[in-house]
Amino acid sequence: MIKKLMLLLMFGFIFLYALTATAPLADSFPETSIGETVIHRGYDETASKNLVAAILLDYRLFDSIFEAGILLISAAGVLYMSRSSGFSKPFPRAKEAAVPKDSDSILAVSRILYPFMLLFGFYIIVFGDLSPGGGFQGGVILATARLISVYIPEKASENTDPLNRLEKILFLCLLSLGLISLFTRGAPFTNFFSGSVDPEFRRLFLVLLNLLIGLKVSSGLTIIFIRFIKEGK
Amino acid sequence: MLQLSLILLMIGLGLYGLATSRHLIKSIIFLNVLEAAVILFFLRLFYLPEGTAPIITSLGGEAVDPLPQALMITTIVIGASVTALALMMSIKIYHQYGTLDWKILLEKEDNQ
Repeated sequence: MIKKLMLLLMFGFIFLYALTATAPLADSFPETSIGETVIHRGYDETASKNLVAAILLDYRLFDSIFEAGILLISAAGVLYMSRSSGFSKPFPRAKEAAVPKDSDSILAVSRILYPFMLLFGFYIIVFGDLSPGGGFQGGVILATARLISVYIPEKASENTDPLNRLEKILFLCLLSLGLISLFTRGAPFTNFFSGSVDPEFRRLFLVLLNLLIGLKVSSGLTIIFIRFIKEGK
Repeated sequence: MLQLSLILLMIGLGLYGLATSRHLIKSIIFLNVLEAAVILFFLRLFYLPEGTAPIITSLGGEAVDPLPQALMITTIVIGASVTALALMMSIKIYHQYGTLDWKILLEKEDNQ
C-alpha cells in the first residue's frame, strides 16, 4: 500500500512537471523545417503526391526497409517460439475451455467478403503514393483477409514455411530494389529514375516498392496470425 | 491544454500500470497504452486547426507537417511486432510454469 502511494506521488510529480514543460506548446502550432521543405519540394523530388509516402519511400527509404526487416525478425521469432520443443508443456490448455464452433452465417458472410477485402488491400497498396495508405497499411488489410480464409474450412492451409520463405525473398527483393539507384544515379536508397524524368514514370518505383512492402508485411502478419490460431487449438 | 494534459495522463497511466501490474498480459496491455499515448502526443504537437492532409490535391489549404506522421508509422509497426513477440512469449511461459504472475514467476526462477 505504501509502495503504491509512493508510486502515485512520484508519477503525479512527473505528470505535473511534464504538464508545465509542455504548456507553452499547447497553443502554438510548431512545424519542423524538414516538414516545410518536404511540403514545398516533395513532389518535384520524389514524384509522390502523398507527402508521408514521399518521406517513407524516398527520403528515409533506408529506415523503412529495415523497419520491414523488424517485422520479418518478429515473425521469425514467433514461428521459432511456437514450434520449439525446448519448452515442455507441463501446464497444457485447460480442457473445459472448448473452442466454440463458428456459426454458418459468419462463414457465409466471410466467403462473400474475402475477395472484396483482397481488392481493397491491393487498392490501398497500389494507390499509396496518391491517396492515404501505402505498403504497411495495405499489407495489414491483406493479412486480415488471409485470416478470414483460414477460418473458411475448404481453403485452410496452415503450413507457414512457404510464407516465411516468401517473406525472406521479398525482403531481399526490397533491398536490391533500393540498391538499383546506386548504379543509375550513384546514390543508394532513392528513386532509380533521375529527377529529369516525367513524374508519371518515376511513380513506377513507388508503386513497385509499395507492392513489395505490402506483400512482405501481409505474409509476416499472416505467419503471426496462423501461429497464434494454432497455439490456441 | 486539455488535450495535452489528457495525453500526459495517459502516459502516466501506462507507466503506473507497467510498474504495478502483476499479470503479464496486463503489462503488455499497459505497454500498448503507453505507445498509443506517445503516438497521440506527437500527432497533437503538430496539429493545425484548419490544416489538411499532407497530400497534394487541387483543393489547396495549408497541409499539416508530414514528418511526425511518417515517424509514427514506424512506431506503430514496431509496436505491433513487439506485442506479437511478447504475447507468444507469455503463452510459452504459461505452458512452462502454469502462471502469468510476475511475483510467482520470479520466485520459481530463484528456486531453480
